[in-house]
Amino acid sequence: MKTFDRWIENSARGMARRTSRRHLLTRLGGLLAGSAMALPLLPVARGEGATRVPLPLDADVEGDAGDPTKCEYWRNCAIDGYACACCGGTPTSCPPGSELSRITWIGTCRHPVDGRDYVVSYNDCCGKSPCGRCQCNRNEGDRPLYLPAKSNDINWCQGTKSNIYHCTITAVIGQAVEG
Amino acid sequence: MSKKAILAVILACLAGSAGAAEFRPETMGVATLDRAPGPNWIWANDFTFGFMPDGRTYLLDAGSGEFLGMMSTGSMFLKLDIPADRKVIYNAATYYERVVRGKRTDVINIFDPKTLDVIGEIPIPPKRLTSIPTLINSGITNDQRFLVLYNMTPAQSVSVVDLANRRLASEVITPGCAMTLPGERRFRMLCADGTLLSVELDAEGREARRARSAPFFDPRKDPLTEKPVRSGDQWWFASFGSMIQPLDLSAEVPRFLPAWSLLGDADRAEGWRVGGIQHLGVHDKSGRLYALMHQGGPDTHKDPGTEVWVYDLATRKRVQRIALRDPATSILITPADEPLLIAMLIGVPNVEVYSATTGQHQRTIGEIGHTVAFLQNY
Repeated sequence: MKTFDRWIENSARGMARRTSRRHLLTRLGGLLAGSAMALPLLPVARGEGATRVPLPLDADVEGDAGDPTKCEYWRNCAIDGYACACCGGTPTSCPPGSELSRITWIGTCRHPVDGRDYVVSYNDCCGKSPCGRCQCNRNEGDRPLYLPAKSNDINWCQGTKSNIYHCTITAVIGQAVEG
Repeated sequence: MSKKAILAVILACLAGSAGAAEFRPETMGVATLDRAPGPNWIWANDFTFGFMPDGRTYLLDAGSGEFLGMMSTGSMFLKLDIPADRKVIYNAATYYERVVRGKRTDVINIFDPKTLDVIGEIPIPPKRLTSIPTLINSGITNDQRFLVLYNMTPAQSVSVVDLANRRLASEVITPGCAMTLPGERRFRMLCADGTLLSVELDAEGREARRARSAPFFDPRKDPLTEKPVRSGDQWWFASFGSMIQPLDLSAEVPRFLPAWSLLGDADRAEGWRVGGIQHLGVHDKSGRLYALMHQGGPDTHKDPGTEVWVYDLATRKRVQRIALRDPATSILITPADEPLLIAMLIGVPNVEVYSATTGQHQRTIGEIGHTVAFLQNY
Protein backbone atom coordinates (compact mmCIF):
# COMPACT_ATOMS: atom_id res chain seq x y z
CA MET A 1 0.00 0.00 0.00
CA LYS A 2 2.81 2.40 0.80
CA THR A 3 3.87 2.42 -2.82
CA PHE A 4 0.42 3.41 -3.96
CA ASP A 5 0.08 6.06 -1.29
CA ARG A 6 3.40 7.43 -2.44
CA TRP A 7 2.22 7.48 -6.06
CA ILE A 8 -0.71 9.67 -5.12
CA GLU A 9 1.41 11.72 -2.74
CA ASN A 10 3.98 12.35 -5.46
CA SER A 11 1.30 13.34 -7.94
CA ALA A 12 -0.14 15.75 -5.41
CA ARG A 13 3.27 17.15 -4.59
CA GLY A 14 4.01 17.48 -8.28
CA MET A 15 0.83 19.43 -8.76
CA ALA A 16 1.65 21.69 -5.85
CA ARG A 17 5.15 22.22 -7.13
CA ARG A 18 3.99 22.97 -10.64
CA THR A 19 1.55 25.58 -9.51
CA SER A 20 4.10 27.46 -7.44
CA ARG A 21 7.09 27.28 -9.74
CA ARG A 22 8.02 30.35 -11.66
CA HIS A 23 8.48 28.48 -14.88
CA LEU A 24 8.50 29.85 -18.38
CA LEU A 25 5.44 27.80 -19.16
CA THR A 26 3.60 29.15 -16.17
CA ARG A 27 4.34 32.64 -17.37
CA LEU A 28 3.04 31.68 -20.77
CA GLY A 29 -0.07 30.15 -19.22
CA GLY A 30 -2.33 33.07 -20.02
CA LEU A 31 -1.14 33.10 -23.60
CA LEU A 32 -1.74 29.36 -23.86
CA ALA A 33 -5.24 29.52 -22.52
CA GLY A 34 -6.24 32.60 -24.42
CA SER A 35 -5.06 31.84 -27.89
CA ALA A 36 -3.24 29.42 -30.11
CA MET A 37 0.35 29.67 -28.98
CA ALA A 38 2.89 30.92 -31.47
CA LEU A 39 5.85 29.29 -29.71
CA PRO A 40 6.43 25.57 -29.38
CA LEU A 41 5.67 24.40 -25.85
CA LEU A 42 9.20 23.35 -25.05
CA PRO A 43 12.37 24.03 -26.96
CA VAL A 44 14.24 20.79 -27.47
CA ALA A 45 17.89 20.14 -28.16
CA ARG A 46 19.00 22.97 -30.33
CA GLY A 47 22.41 22.94 -28.75
CA GLU A 48 24.14 24.70 -31.64
CA GLY A 49 24.85 28.31 -30.84
CA ALA A 50 24.07 27.96 -27.17
CA THR A 51 26.63 29.25 -24.77
CA ARG A 52 28.39 26.19 -23.41
CA VAL A 53 28.81 26.44 -19.68
CA PRO A 54 29.31 23.61 -17.18
CA LEU A 55 26.26 22.05 -15.60
CA PRO A 56 25.87 23.31 -12.01
CA LEU A 57 26.49 20.66 -9.36
CA ASP A 58 23.56 19.07 -7.58
CA ALA A 59 25.32 19.93 -4.32
CA ASP A 60 24.72 23.60 -5.12
CA VAL A 61 20.97 23.12 -5.47
CA GLU A 62 18.96 23.68 -2.32
CA GLY A 63 16.31 21.28 -1.13
CA ASP A 64 14.65 18.41 -2.97
CA ALA A 65 15.40 19.92 -6.40
CA GLY A 66 19.04 18.89 -5.80
CA ASP A 67 18.26 15.41 -4.45
CA PRO A 68 18.20 12.63 -7.09
CA THR A 69 16.15 10.46 -4.73
CA LYS A 70 13.21 12.88 -4.77
CA CYS A 71 10.53 13.28 -7.44
CA GLU A 72 11.11 17.03 -7.11
CA TYR A 73 14.73 16.56 -8.36
CA TRP A 74 15.10 19.10 -11.14
CA ARG A 75 15.93 16.51 -13.82
CA ASN A 76 12.74 14.58 -13.07
CA CYS A 77 10.47 17.16 -14.71
CA ALA A 78 9.17 14.68 -17.29
CA ILE A 79 9.80 11.33 -15.60
CA ASP A 80 7.16 8.62 -15.41
CA GLY A 81 8.46 5.64 -13.48
CA TYR A 82 10.92 4.70 -10.77
CA ALA A 83 13.97 6.94 -10.31
CA CYS A 84 17.08 4.71 -10.56
CA ALA A 85 18.90 6.79 -7.94
CA CYS A 86 16.57 5.15 -5.40
CA CYS A 87 17.23 1.67 -6.83
CA GLY A 88 21.00 1.29 -6.56
CA GLY A 89 21.81 3.47 -9.55
CA THR A 90 22.38 7.19 -10.07
CA PRO A 91 20.90 9.81 -12.42
CA THR A 92 23.37 8.58 -15.05
CA SER A 93 23.85 4.89 -14.25
CA CYS A 94 21.49 1.95 -14.14
CA PRO A 95 21.35 -0.21 -11.00
CA PRO A 96 23.64 -3.26 -10.89
CA GLY A 97 22.60 -6.10 -13.15
CA SER A 98 20.10 -4.13 -15.23
CA GLU A 99 20.57 -3.26 -18.90
CA LEU A 100 20.66 0.32 -20.17
CA SER A 101 18.32 0.95 -23.08
CA ARG A 102 19.82 3.30 -25.66
CA ILE A 103 16.42 4.11 -27.14
CA THR A 104 14.86 6.90 -25.21
CA TRP A 105 12.61 9.91 -24.83
CA ILE A 106 13.76 13.40 -23.96
CA GLY A 107 12.47 16.21 -21.84
CA THR A 108 13.55 19.76 -21.22
CA CYS A 109 14.03 20.77 -17.60
CA ARG A 110 14.93 24.17 -16.19
CA HIS A 111 17.86 24.18 -13.81
CA PRO A 112 16.91 25.87 -10.55
CA VAL A 113 20.31 27.52 -10.07
CA ASP A 114 21.38 28.88 -13.44
CA GLY A 115 17.86 29.18 -14.87
CA ARG A 116 18.93 27.47 -18.10
CA ASP A 117 16.95 24.76 -19.85
CA TYR A 118 18.70 21.40 -20.27
CA VAL A 119 17.79 18.44 -22.43
CA VAL A 120 17.35 15.36 -20.26
CA SER A 121 17.46 11.86 -21.73
CA TYR A 122 15.14 9.52 -19.83
CA ASN A 123 16.73 6.14 -20.52
CA ASP A 124 15.07 3.10 -19.03
CA CYS A 125 17.01 0.35 -17.28
CA CYS A 126 15.68 -3.07 -18.11
CA GLY A 127 15.70 -6.81 -17.51
CA LYS A 128 14.60 -6.90 -13.87
CA SER A 129 11.20 -6.44 -12.29
CA PRO A 130 10.22 -2.82 -11.58
CA CYS A 131 12.30 -1.42 -8.71
CA GLY A 132 9.28 -0.09 -6.86
CA ARG A 133 10.98 2.90 -5.23
CA CYS A 134 10.66 6.63 -5.93
CA GLN A 135 7.74 6.34 -8.26
CA CYS A 136 7.45 9.71 -9.94
CA ASN A 137 5.10 11.05 -12.57
CA ARG A 138 5.78 14.55 -13.87
CA ASN A 139 4.72 15.54 -17.32
CA GLU A 140 6.39 18.79 -18.32
CA GLY A 141 6.54 18.71 -22.10
CA ASP A 142 5.17 15.16 -22.26
CA ARG A 143 3.33 14.50 -25.51
CA PRO A 144 1.05 11.71 -26.81
CA LEU A 145 2.24 8.31 -28.01
CA TYR A 146 2.21 9.40 -31.68
CA LEU A 147 5.06 11.80 -30.82
CA PRO A 148 7.22 9.04 -29.36
CA ALA A 149 10.40 11.04 -28.74
CA LYS A 150 8.49 13.19 -26.25
CA SER A 151 6.23 10.57 -24.69
CA ASN A 152 6.83 9.23 -21.21
CA ASP A 153 3.91 6.75 -21.46
CA ILE A 154 6.02 4.37 -23.56
CA ASN A 155 7.99 1.47 -22.11
CA TRP A 156 11.39 2.53 -23.42
CA CYS A 157 13.00 -0.85 -22.75
CA GLN A 158 13.45 -1.32 -26.46
CA GLY A 159 16.38 -2.89 -28.26
CA THR A 160 17.37 -4.56 -25.00
CA LYS A 161 17.66 -8.29 -24.24
CA SER A 162 14.48 -8.03 -22.18
CA ASN A 163 11.84 -5.31 -22.30
CA ILE A 164 10.89 -5.69 -18.65
CA TYR A 165 11.11 -2.21 -17.11
CA HIS A 166 13.19 -1.67 -13.97
CA CYS A 167 13.73 2.10 -13.51
CA THR A 168 14.66 5.34 -15.32
CA ILE A 169 17.84 7.45 -15.35
CA THR A 170 18.00 11.16 -16.18
CA ALA A 171 21.20 12.07 -18.02
CA VAL A 172 21.69 15.66 -19.17
CA ILE A 173 22.70 15.48 -22.82
CA GLY A 174 22.62 19.10 -23.87
CA GLN A 175 21.59 22.64 -23.28
CA ALA A 176 18.32 23.76 -24.78
CA VAL A 177 17.73 27.12 -26.38
CA GLU A 178 14.51 28.79 -27.34
CA GLY A 179 13.49 27.55 -30.73
CA MET B 1 -7.56 -38.76 21.26
CA SER B 2 -6.91 -42.49 21.47
CA LYS B 3 -7.66 -44.86 18.59
CA LYS B 4 -10.48 -46.38 20.62
CA ALA B 5 -12.07 -43.01 21.26
CA ILE B 6 -11.89 -42.10 17.55
CA LEU B 7 -13.54 -45.38 16.64
CA ALA B 8 -16.28 -44.69 19.19
CA VAL B 9 -16.96 -41.27 17.69
CA ILE B 10 -17.14 -42.71 14.17
CA LEU B 11 -19.50 -45.49 15.26
CA ALA B 12 -21.68 -43.00 17.09
CA CYS B 13 -21.85 -40.84 13.98
CA LEU B 14 -22.76 -43.77 11.76
CA ALA B 15 -25.43 -44.94 14.20
CA GLY B 16 -26.84 -41.44 14.48
CA SER B 17 -27.09 -40.97 10.73
CA ALA B 18 -28.97 -44.24 10.25
CA GLY B 19 -32.63 -43.48 9.86
CA ALA B 20 -32.10 -39.69 9.54
CA ALA B 21 -31.38 -37.91 6.21
CA GLU B 22 -28.22 -39.34 4.75
CA PHE B 23 -25.06 -37.25 5.06
CA ARG B 24 -23.63 -36.31 1.70
CA PRO B 25 -20.12 -34.92 1.45
CA GLU B 26 -19.99 -31.69 -0.53
CA THR B 27 -18.73 -31.92 -4.05
CA MET B 28 -16.02 -29.58 -5.22
CA GLY B 29 -15.63 -27.99 -8.59
CA VAL B 30 -14.83 -24.86 -10.56
CA ALA B 31 -17.41 -22.13 -11.17
CA THR B 32 -18.35 -21.15 -14.69
CA LEU B 33 -20.03 -18.03 -16.01
CA ASP B 34 -23.16 -19.42 -17.59
CA ARG B 35 -25.11 -16.17 -17.46
CA ALA B 36 -25.04 -13.81 -20.41
CA PRO B 37 -23.00 -10.71 -19.57
CA GLY B 38 -25.11 -7.93 -18.10
CA PRO B 39 -25.04 -4.30 -19.29
CA ASN B 40 -23.07 -3.26 -16.22
CA TRP B 41 -20.41 -5.96 -16.43
CA ILE B 42 -17.02 -4.34 -16.74
CA TRP B 43 -13.38 -5.38 -17.02
CA ALA B 44 -10.90 -3.57 -14.80
CA ASN B 45 -7.57 -3.99 -16.58
CA ASP B 46 -4.53 -3.99 -14.29
CA PHE B 47 -1.10 -3.58 -15.85
CA THR B 48 0.43 -4.17 -12.39
CA PHE B 49 3.09 -1.51 -12.73
CA GLY B 50 5.11 -2.75 -9.75
CA PHE B 51 5.29 -6.34 -11.09
CA MET B 52 4.52 -6.05 -14.77
CA PRO B 53 5.07 -9.69 -15.76
CA ASP B 54 1.81 -10.52 -13.94
CA GLY B 55 -0.91 -8.55 -15.75
CA ARG B 56 -4.52 -9.37 -15.03
CA THR B 57 -8.08 -8.23 -15.59
CA TYR B 58 -10.98 -8.38 -13.15
CA LEU B 59 -14.56 -9.00 -14.25
CA LEU B 60 -17.05 -7.10 -12.12
CA ASP B 61 -20.79 -6.51 -12.12
CA ALA B 62 -20.77 -2.82 -11.34
CA GLY B 63 -24.54 -2.95 -10.88
CA SER B 64 -24.39 -5.40 -7.99
CA GLY B 65 -20.79 -4.99 -6.88
CA GLU B 66 -20.14 -8.67 -7.51
CA PHE B 67 -16.62 -9.90 -8.35
CA LEU B 68 -17.24 -12.46 -11.11
CA GLY B 69 -13.74 -13.66 -11.93
CA MET B 70 -10.31 -12.80 -13.23
CA MET B 71 -8.01 -13.60 -16.13
CA SER B 72 -4.21 -13.66 -16.11
CA THR B 73 -3.23 -11.71 -19.18
CA GLY B 74 0.54 -11.83 -19.31
CA SER B 75 3.37 -9.37 -19.05
CA MET B 76 2.75 -5.68 -19.71
CA PHE B 77 -0.97 -6.14 -20.20
CA LEU B 78 -2.83 -3.36 -21.97
CA LYS B 79 -6.41 -4.27 -22.90
CA LEU B 80 -8.85 -6.93 -24.02
CA ASP B 81 -10.19 -7.25 -27.54
CA ILE B 82 -13.72 -8.61 -27.40
CA PRO B 83 -15.43 -9.71 -30.64
CA ALA B 84 -19.05 -8.68 -31.22
CA ASP B 85 -20.38 -12.21 -30.61
CA ARG B 86 -18.42 -12.51 -27.33
CA LYS B 87 -17.71 -16.18 -28.02
CA VAL B 88 -14.06 -15.70 -27.10
CA ILE B 89 -11.95 -12.90 -25.63
CA TYR B 90 -8.51 -11.91 -26.92
CA ASN B 91 -5.55 -10.11 -25.43
CA ALA B 92 -2.06 -9.43 -26.73
CA ALA B 93 0.56 -10.68 -24.29
CA THR B 94 4.30 -10.92 -23.88
CA TYR B 95 6.04 -13.74 -22.02
CA TYR B 96 9.67 -14.36 -21.15
CA GLU B 97 10.91 -17.88 -20.67
CA ARG B 98 12.33 -16.97 -17.26
CA VAL B 99 9.78 -14.31 -16.31
CA VAL B 100 12.06 -11.30 -16.85
CA ARG B 101 14.69 -12.82 -19.15
CA GLY B 102 15.22 -15.55 -21.68
CA LYS B 103 13.36 -16.08 -24.92
CA ARG B 104 10.51 -13.63 -25.56
CA THR B 105 7.25 -14.98 -26.92
CA ASP B 106 4.35 -12.70 -27.90
CA VAL B 107 0.92 -14.17 -28.50
CA ILE B 108 -2.72 -13.28 -28.74
CA ASN B 109 -4.30 -15.17 -25.84
CA ILE B 110 -7.71 -16.65 -26.56
CA PHE B 111 -9.96 -16.97 -23.51
CA ASP B 112 -13.22 -18.86 -23.06
CA PRO B 113 -15.68 -16.34 -21.59
CA LYS B 114 -17.49 -19.05 -19.60
CA THR B 115 -14.45 -20.59 -17.93
CA LEU B 116 -12.14 -17.53 -18.16
CA ASP B 117 -9.45 -20.04 -19.10
CA VAL B 118 -7.00 -19.85 -22.01
CA ILE B 119 -8.17 -22.07 -24.86
CA GLY B 120 -5.60 -21.13 -27.45
CA GLU B 121 -3.04 -18.63 -28.61
CA ILE B 122 -1.90 -17.04 -31.84
CA PRO B 123 1.84 -16.26 -32.20
CA ILE B 124 2.56 -12.64 -33.15
CA PRO B 125 5.82 -10.74 -33.78
CA PRO B 126 7.51 -9.72 -30.49
CA LYS B 127 7.10 -6.05 -31.35
CA ARG B 128 3.95 -4.76 -29.68
CA LEU B 129 4.11 -1.35 -28.04
CA THR B 130 3.96 -1.58 -24.30
CA SER B 131 2.77 1.67 -22.81
CA ILE B 132 0.14 3.18 -20.56
CA PRO B 133 -2.94 1.42 -22.00
CA THR B 134 -5.37 3.13 -24.36
CA LEU B 135 -8.38 2.07 -26.39
CA ILE B 136 -6.30 2.26 -29.56
CA ASN B 137 -3.34 0.01 -28.76
CA SER B 138 -5.28 -2.72 -30.59
CA GLY B 139 -8.74 -3.54 -31.91
CA ILE B 140 -10.86 -5.83 -34.07
CA THR B 141 -12.02 -4.80 -37.54
CA ASN B 142 -15.80 -4.26 -37.89
CA ASP B 143 -16.13 -7.37 -40.07
CA GLN B 144 -14.67 -9.30 -37.09
CA ARG B 145 -12.05 -10.91 -39.29
CA PHE B 146 -8.81 -9.24 -38.20
CA LEU B 147 -7.23 -8.04 -35.00
CA VAL B 148 -4.93 -5.06 -35.55
CA LEU B 149 -2.19 -4.36 -33.03
CA TYR B 150 0.19 -1.40 -32.90
CA ASN B 151 3.93 -2.19 -32.75
CA MET B 152 6.88 0.00 -31.83
CA THR B 153 10.46 -1.29 -31.58
CA PRO B 154 10.95 1.81 -32.12
CA ALA B 155 10.12 1.08 -35.78
CA GLN B 156 6.39 1.60 -36.17
CA SER B 157 4.11 -1.04 -37.69
CA VAL B 158 0.82 -2.86 -37.26
CA SER B 159 0.43 -6.63 -36.84
CA VAL B 160 -2.69 -7.87 -38.63
CA VAL B 161 -3.93 -11.11 -37.07
CA ASP B 162 -6.33 -13.37 -38.95
CA LEU B 163 -8.88 -14.39 -36.31
CA ALA B 164 -10.69 -16.88 -38.56
CA ASN B 165 -7.55 -18.89 -39.26
CA ARG B 166 -5.77 -17.98 -36.03
CA ARG B 167 -2.51 -16.88 -37.60
CA LEU B 168 -0.60 -13.71 -38.39
CA ALA B 169 -1.86 -12.30 -41.67
CA SER B 170 0.68 -9.52 -42.24
CA GLU B 171 2.74 -6.75 -40.75
CA VAL B 172 2.01 -3.31 -42.20
CA ILE B 173 4.91 -0.85 -41.95
CA THR B 174 3.72 2.59 -40.85
CA PRO B 175 6.59 5.05 -40.28
CA GLY B 176 5.55 8.24 -38.53
CA CYS B 177 2.15 6.94 -37.49
CA ALA B 178 1.01 5.32 -34.26
CA MET B 179 -1.86 3.49 -32.56
CA THR B 180 -4.65 1.75 -34.46
CA LEU B 181 -8.31 2.65 -34.90
CA PRO B 182 -10.12 -0.31 -36.47
CA GLY B 183 -12.84 0.17 -39.10
CA GLU B 184 -14.75 -2.04 -41.52
CA ARG B 185 -11.80 -3.96 -43.00
CA ARG B 186 -9.33 -1.20 -42.40
CA PHE B 187 -7.52 0.68 -39.69
CA ARG B 188 -6.51 4.26 -39.10
CA MET B 189 -3.49 5.70 -37.33
CA LEU B 190 -2.56 9.06 -35.77
CA CYS B 191 0.53 10.52 -37.40
CA ALA B 192 3.12 12.85 -35.89
CA ASP B 193 2.31 15.57 -38.44
CA GLY B 194 -1.34 15.78 -37.41
CA THR B 195 -2.65 13.63 -40.28
CA LEU B 196 -4.62 10.40 -40.26
CA LEU B 197 -3.31 7.33 -42.09
CA SER B 198 -5.93 4.96 -43.51
CA VAL B 199 -4.92 1.42 -44.49
CA GLU B 200 -7.40 -0.79 -46.36
CA LEU B 201 -6.89 -4.55 -45.98
CA ASP B 202 -7.57 -7.23 -48.56
CA ALA B 203 -9.34 -10.54 -47.88
CA GLU B 204 -6.05 -12.06 -46.69
CA GLY B 205 -5.31 -9.22 -44.27
CA ARG B 206 -2.58 -7.69 -46.36
CA GLU B 207 -2.37 -3.99 -47.14
CA ALA B 208 -4.52 -3.26 -50.21
CA ARG B 209 -3.97 0.49 -50.31
CA ARG B 210 -3.25 3.42 -48.04
CA ALA B 211 -4.13 7.09 -47.95
CA ARG B 212 -2.96 9.98 -45.81
CA SER B 213 -5.36 12.76 -44.88
CA ALA B 214 -4.55 16.45 -44.79
CA PRO B 215 -3.52 17.62 -41.30
CA PHE B 216 -6.63 17.87 -39.12
CA PHE B 217 -4.95 19.05 -35.94
CA ASP B 218 -1.71 20.76 -34.96
CA PRO B 219 0.36 18.53 -32.65
CA ARG B 220 2.58 21.51 -31.75
CA LYS B 221 -0.16 23.95 -30.85
CA ASP B 222 -2.80 21.69 -29.29
CA PRO B 223 -2.08 17.94 -29.53
CA LEU B 224 -4.99 15.54 -29.53
CA THR B 225 -4.59 12.97 -26.79
CA GLU B 226 -4.40 9.32 -27.84
CA LYS B 227 -7.31 8.50 -25.51
CA PRO B 228 -10.47 8.55 -27.63
CA VAL B 229 -13.87 6.97 -27.09
CA ARG B 230 -16.01 5.50 -29.84
CA SER B 231 -19.57 4.61 -30.64
CA GLY B 232 -19.49 2.40 -33.71
CA ASP B 233 -17.54 4.36 -36.31
CA GLN B 234 -17.96 7.69 -34.55
CA TRP B 235 -14.89 8.63 -32.52
CA TRP B 236 -14.20 11.52 -30.15
CA PHE B 237 -10.73 12.74 -29.15
CA ALA B 238 -9.95 15.37 -26.51
CA SER B 239 -7.02 17.73 -27.00
CA PHE B 240 -4.65 19.02 -24.34
CA GLY B 241 -6.56 22.30 -24.55
CA SER B 242 -9.92 20.55 -23.90
CA MET B 243 -11.21 20.69 -27.47
CA ILE B 244 -13.27 17.72 -28.69
CA GLN B 245 -12.44 16.49 -32.20
CA PRO B 246 -15.16 14.18 -33.57
CA LEU B 247 -14.28 11.81 -36.42
CA ASP B 248 -16.70 9.91 -38.62
CA LEU B 249 -14.74 6.87 -39.80
CA SER B 250 -17.63 4.92 -41.31
CA ALA B 251 -16.50 5.30 -44.92
CA GLU B 252 -13.18 4.82 -46.67
CA VAL B 253 -12.60 8.57 -46.67
CA PRO B 254 -12.54 9.85 -43.08
CA ARG B 255 -14.71 12.82 -42.16
CA PHE B 256 -13.27 15.36 -39.75
CA LEU B 257 -16.19 17.00 -38.03
CA PRO B 258 -15.94 20.48 -36.49
CA ALA B 259 -14.05 20.59 -33.20
CA TRP B 260 -15.74 22.10 -30.18
CA SER B 261 -14.61 23.12 -26.72
CA LEU B 262 -15.50 21.50 -23.42
CA LEU B 263 -14.91 24.88 -21.79
CA GLY B 264 -16.78 28.13 -21.57
CA ASP B 265 -15.07 31.40 -20.69
CA ALA B 266 -15.84 31.02 -17.00
CA ASP B 267 -14.43 27.46 -16.98
CA ARG B 268 -11.24 28.68 -18.65
CA ALA B 269 -10.89 31.49 -16.15
CA GLU B 270 -11.15 28.93 -13.35
CA GLY B 271 -8.41 26.79 -14.94
CA TRP B 272 -10.53 23.74 -15.76
CA ARG B 273 -9.19 21.22 -18.27
CA VAL B 274 -9.65 17.61 -19.29
CA GLY B 275 -7.07 15.15 -17.95
CA GLY B 276 -6.22 11.70 -16.68
CA ILE B 277 -5.41 8.32 -18.21
CA GLN B 278 -8.86 7.40 -19.56
CA HIS B 279 -10.60 10.72 -19.55
CA LEU B 280 -13.63 10.38 -21.86
CA GLY B 281 -16.77 8.26 -21.78
CA VAL B 282 -19.74 8.00 -24.13
CA HIS B 283 -23.28 6.67 -23.78
CA ASP B 284 -24.93 5.78 -27.09
CA LYS B 285 -28.61 5.78 -26.20
CA SER B 286 -28.65 9.14 -24.49
CA GLY B 287 -26.09 10.72 -26.83
CA ARG B 288 -23.99 11.93 -23.92
CA LEU B 289 -20.24 12.52 -23.77
CA TYR B 290 -18.51 12.45 -20.37
CA ALA B 291 -15.22 14.24 -19.67
CA LEU B 292 -12.96 13.91 -16.62
CA MET B 293 -12.04 17.44 -15.54
CA HIS B 294 -9.64 19.06 -13.10
CA GLN B 295 -8.26 22.51 -12.40
CA GLY B 296 -4.62 22.88 -13.36
CA GLY B 297 -2.13 24.56 -15.63
CA PRO B 298 -0.21 23.33 -18.66
CA ASP B 299 1.45 19.91 -18.28
CA THR B 300 -1.35 18.66 -16.00
CA HIS B 301 -2.89 16.59 -18.79
CA LYS B 302 -2.50 13.37 -16.79
CA ASP B 303 -3.55 14.74 -13.42
CA PRO B 304 -6.58 13.14 -11.72
CA GLY B 305 -10.00 14.64 -12.35
CA THR B 306 -12.26 15.88 -9.58
CA GLU B 307 -15.44 16.27 -11.64
CA VAL B 308 -17.07 14.60 -14.63
CA TRP B 309 -18.76 17.00 -17.03
CA VAL B 310 -21.61 15.69 -19.17
CA TYR B 311 -22.35 16.98 -22.68
CA ASP B 312 -25.24 16.49 -25.06
CA LEU B 313 -23.53 15.43 -28.30
CA ALA B 314 -26.37 16.84 -30.41
CA THR B 315 -26.13 20.36 -29.00
CA ARG B 316 -22.52 20.17 -27.71
CA LYS B 317 -23.74 21.84 -24.56
CA ARG B 318 -22.84 20.82 -21.05
CA VAL B 319 -25.91 19.44 -19.32
CA GLN B 320 -24.48 18.33 -15.98
CA ARG B 321 -21.51 18.47 -13.63
CA ILE B 322 -20.83 15.43 -11.45
CA ALA B 323 -18.58 16.05 -8.45
CA LEU B 324 -16.61 12.86 -7.80
CA ARG B 325 -16.37 11.64 -4.23
CA ASP B 326 -12.71 10.79 -4.83
CA PRO B 327 -10.38 11.96 -7.62
CA ALA B 328 -10.06 9.61 -10.60
CA THR B 329 -7.69 8.95 -13.48
CA SER B 330 -9.97 6.58 -15.46
CA ILE B 331 -13.68 6.73 -16.19
CA LEU B 332 -16.07 4.45 -18.06
CA ILE B 333 -19.78 4.72 -18.87
CA THR B 334 -21.68 1.41 -19.02
CA PRO B 335 -24.11 0.87 -21.93
CA ALA B 336 -27.11 0.16 -19.66
CA ASP B 337 -30.35 2.11 -20.16
CA GLU B 338 -29.62 3.66 -16.77
CA PRO B 339 -25.86 3.94 -17.28
CA LEU B 340 -23.30 3.79 -14.52
CA LEU B 341 -20.22 5.96 -14.27
CA ILE B 342 -17.21 3.90 -13.17
CA ALA B 343 -14.24 5.82 -11.78
CA MET B 344 -10.82 4.71 -10.52
CA LEU B 345 -7.67 6.45 -9.35
CA ILE B 346 -4.57 4.57 -10.45
CA GLY B 347 -2.82 3.02 -7.47
CA VAL B 348 -5.97 2.98 -5.34
CA PRO B 349 -7.73 -0.41 -5.51
CA ASN B 350 -11.29 0.94 -5.30
CA VAL B 351 -13.80 0.86 -8.14
CA GLU B 352 -16.17 3.77 -7.50
CA VAL B 353 -19.62 3.38 -9.02
CA TYR B 354 -21.93 6.35 -9.62
CA SER B 355 -25.21 6.76 -11.46
CA ALA B 356 -24.21 8.39 -14.75
CA THR B 357 -27.59 10.12 -14.91
CA THR B 358 -27.94 11.53 -11.39
CA GLY B 359 -24.26 11.51 -10.49
CA GLN B 360 -25.07 9.89 -7.16
CA HIS B 361 -22.40 7.63 -5.68
CA GLN B 362 -23.78 4.08 -5.44
CA ARG B 363 -21.04 1.85 -4.17
CA THR B 364 -17.34 1.15 -3.79
CA ILE B 365 -16.01 -2.21 -4.95
CA GLY B 366 -12.82 -2.60 -2.94
CA GLU B 367 -9.63 -4.65 -3.21
CA ILE B 368 -9.53 -4.49 -7.00
CA GLY B 369 -6.00 -4.77 -8.29
CA HIS B 370 -2.93 -2.63 -8.02
CA THR B 371 -2.67 -0.19 -10.93
CA VAL B 372 -5.91 -0.41 -12.86
CA ALA B 373 -5.53 2.12 -15.66
CA PHE B 374 -8.01 1.08 -18.32
CA LEU B 375 -11.66 0.12 -17.83
CA GLN B 376 -13.67 -1.69 -20.49
CA ASN B 377 -17.30 -2.57 -20.97
CA TYR B 378 -17.93 -6.27 -21.57
